[in-house]
Amino acid sequence: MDVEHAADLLDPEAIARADALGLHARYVVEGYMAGEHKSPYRGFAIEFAQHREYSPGDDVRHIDWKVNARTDRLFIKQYEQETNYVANILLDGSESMTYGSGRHTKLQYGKMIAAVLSYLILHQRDAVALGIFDEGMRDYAPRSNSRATLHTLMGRLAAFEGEQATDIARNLHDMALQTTRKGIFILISDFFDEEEAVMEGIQHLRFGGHEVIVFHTLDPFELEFPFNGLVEFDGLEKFPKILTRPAEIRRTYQREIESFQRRVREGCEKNGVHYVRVDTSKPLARVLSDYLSFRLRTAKGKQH
Amino acid sequence: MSFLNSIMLFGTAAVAVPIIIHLLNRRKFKKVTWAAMKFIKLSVEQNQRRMQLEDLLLLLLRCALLALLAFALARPALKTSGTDVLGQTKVTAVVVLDNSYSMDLRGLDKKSAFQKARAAAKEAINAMPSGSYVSVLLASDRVQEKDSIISPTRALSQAHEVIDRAKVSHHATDLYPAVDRAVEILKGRAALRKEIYIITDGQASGWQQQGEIRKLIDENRDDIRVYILRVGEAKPPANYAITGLDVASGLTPVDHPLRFDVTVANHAAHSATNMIVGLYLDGGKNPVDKVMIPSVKPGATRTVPLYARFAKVGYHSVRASFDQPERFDSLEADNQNLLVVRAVREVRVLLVDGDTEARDPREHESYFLKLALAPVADHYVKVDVTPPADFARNVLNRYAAVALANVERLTPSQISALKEFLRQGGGLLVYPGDRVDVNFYNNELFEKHVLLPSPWGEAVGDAEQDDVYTLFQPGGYEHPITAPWNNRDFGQLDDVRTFRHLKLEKQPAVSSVKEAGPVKVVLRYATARDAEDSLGDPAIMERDWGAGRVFQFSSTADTAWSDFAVRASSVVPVLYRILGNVQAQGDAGLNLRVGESFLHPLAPHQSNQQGRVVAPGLAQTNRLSAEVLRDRPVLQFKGTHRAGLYEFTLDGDERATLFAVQPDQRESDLHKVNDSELPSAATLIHWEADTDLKEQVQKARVGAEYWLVILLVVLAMVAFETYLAQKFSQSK
Repeated sequence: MDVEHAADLLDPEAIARADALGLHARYVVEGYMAGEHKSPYRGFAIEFAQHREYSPGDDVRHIDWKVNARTDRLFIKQYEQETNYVANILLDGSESMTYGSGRHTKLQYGKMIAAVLSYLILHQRDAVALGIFDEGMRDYAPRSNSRATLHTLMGRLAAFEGEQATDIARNLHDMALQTTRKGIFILISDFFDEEEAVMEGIQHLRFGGHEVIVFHTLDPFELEFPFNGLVEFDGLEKFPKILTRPAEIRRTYQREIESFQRRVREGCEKNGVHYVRVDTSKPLARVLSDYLSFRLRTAKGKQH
Repeated sequence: MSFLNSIMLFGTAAVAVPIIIHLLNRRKFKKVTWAAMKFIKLSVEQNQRRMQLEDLLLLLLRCALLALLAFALARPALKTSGTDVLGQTKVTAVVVLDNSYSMDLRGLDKKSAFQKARAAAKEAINAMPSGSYVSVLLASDRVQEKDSIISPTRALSQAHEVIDRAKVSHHATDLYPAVDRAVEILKGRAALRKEIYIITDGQASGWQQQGEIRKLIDENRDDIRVYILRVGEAKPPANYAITGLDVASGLTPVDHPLRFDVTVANHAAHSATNMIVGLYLDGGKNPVDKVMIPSVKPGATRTVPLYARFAKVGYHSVRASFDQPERFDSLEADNQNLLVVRAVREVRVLLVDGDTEARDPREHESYFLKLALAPVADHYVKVDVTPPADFARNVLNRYAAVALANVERLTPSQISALKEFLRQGGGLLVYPGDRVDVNFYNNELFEKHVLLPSPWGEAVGDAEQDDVYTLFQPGGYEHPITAPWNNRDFGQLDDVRTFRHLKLEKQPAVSSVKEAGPVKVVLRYATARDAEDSLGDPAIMERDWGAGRVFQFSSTADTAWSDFAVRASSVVPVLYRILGNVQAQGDAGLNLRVGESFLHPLAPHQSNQQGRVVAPGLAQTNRLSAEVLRDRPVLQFKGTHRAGLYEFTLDGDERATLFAVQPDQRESDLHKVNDSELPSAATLIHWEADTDLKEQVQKARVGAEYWLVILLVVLAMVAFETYLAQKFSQSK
């Protein structure tokens, strides 16, 4: 990976525009670039394409020792789909995503995921398309494999504010119809929508031959429900208010939310979709590295 | 169900508190903007019913808790509960201990009714559950507050002490005031079981207001249980009493034989025969005179004259007593009667004569009056006659009485001189006549100065008509002055003929003058045959004025309108008794009935003066300190509960003054009330030493208080509420 690209991302103006997002993206990516040998983006290309000359910082595991033996020069194996793949990142920008109990709202966290993934994918010379949707597609950056696109993407991400209700399924169907070329769909959402409809949307994408990765983004408070006393819950997305004593319904709630997650996960698994549960209180680096290393493992498994 | 502290029932309004808190709490909540509404909705839907139920249960529990607490504090009690599961509920009782002097009667076992009554009272107290409250009222015709426990005490030993110390008084019995007081005491108490014990010998006089007592007991029968404990002999023993001792002569000069009228009553069931009554002077052992009364019928009285002579000027005690009464009479107190009298050297009377113009003194207005008062030259009554113009202030203080006979009118200075004379204790006799200015008398002496007992009214009769006249009343004399004439042996008044008189009438007492006292009729005219009134016109009226007394006559002092002046057998005793009455007026405080206060007036500068009284038969001396009564300092002694001769000494003056206290004569009639006449709402117990009072009383002590049980329930509910609240708040 080029240092200048990283420097691009770390442009102070870009950081300022992209809110805290850029910083986090940089932190995550930097972490992998500095010492981590299992470079996270490596796993995205899973079929060999060509060699290129080794440059410092490349993972030594990717050096093609056979070529080295033959030519006495260091070459790095590169993979076939590296530039062929289009990653369609779909970020749920509905109002429900604006909830956050800690430092970040789910939307901010989702933006960070989108930014970091965009960064990684572009650096891998794959193409990225970014869509932010709620009831309909609110903002769409068509696919591009230019690294310069990163700035635009981050600007767009930073500028977006969620304020509408959501309709994930509709957007998925739309995308499935619009995208003819096979690619990866990365869906970042809390999935607070009609589960079955959403699953149908995902199925639609899968029928189109796309690979789908789901980042199910939830706030820790949404998982734990740690409220006490009498609380009036003011619903986002025009949900009517509910006055209750949360402590007394906590277990039921937790049961419900767990079964919700389970249903989403099982729905995903049934459709051959990678399901990643994202807890917004956890460091983004950990979440992504966990997933990417998992992906790498499964990809390797596929390779052998 | 009743409540002993029902005001606390208002506390049940506290049930509103949890409801208000609940409602207020619903307005106090945190607001959270939330995304995962769907799951809250689902959870709430699953739990809503249970939560509402739990809320309702807790709310109800809390409301019930407060309501029950208020309920417990209101001390609910159930009267009909026959069980004593909760222990005997304490009693609040009033013991009314009859200490009238009939209680002194001893039975065949030589024990007095009062000793038995004390034992019964103690047993009644001992039969009360611990923690009970008791009052002890020593009662005769009043409650002897000083020796009673008025406010119920828990210290039952204190009640025992009071009973041990209690003594028989010489009061009569009338249990109504004591029962009334007992009811009043109990009404002010919050207690489930209220009891009154009336311990008495059942003397009929004690129940003279039995209608009132019955009403009182009936009105409170749901609330107060009344026990009548009869003690003493069932049948009254024979009792004879000396019920009266009176100076019949009126005046008490030294060295003159004085007539004392002694009245004897026979309260026995058979005639009394050959009773000897003696008259004793100044504590002497031997009688100065005695008389044998041949016979007194059962229930009758007999008045006999006895004679004595005082050798010295000053106070003397006179005692009339049965000779050896212990032989036939077991009640001591009424076997003698005492009187304190003041013997005088002479009595001076001033006659103011308004008609002295005739040459013949027999035609002067005051001629017969003077003759009646001082029939001989060297008499102990000295009479001076003066025309109206000559009588003046400076001479009045020499006289015991002044008579105005047909005086037309008085000058203002004469009026003020008369008022001063009355203030000092003088007597004033006022006669009408043809010269009298009726308007002046009515406006000045009656209306303005309120000296006269009555205004002069219209004239009745014609003085010239000798055959049309009015007589005095033939009997029923109520005034002490005329009372002896009720006994025909004493003489008669109804032969006096009055041809003309001015109407006198008793008017409602509205007086602006402080010194003017109450008005009484001394003597009346007989009623006319066709008159509807049962009472005739007053012939003589009197009014206290200052320390003195004013007598107003309706007819003349001479014979112009009436022949009273020449009826020596009538007019002399009447006038002497009037003069004696004036004189005794100053000494009236020396002859008291039991219970009346002894008063010794003091001069205004003597407000720190002290004195002492020694009661008969009691060694201890009662100290008296000056107190203010009607703006004047006096020494007052209230403890005249026993009859006898008391000795009063003013500090700094070693000469003792005597005063006599008479027993209440009503008590001498020992007749008992029948059981059937006693209030039926009360439980009657004939108490003897072997009576098991406790058993009889406990049977009736039903009912229980429930506050403790309810309080325990409340505590249990508090614990339950805490547990539930905790359990409900756990996450589901």
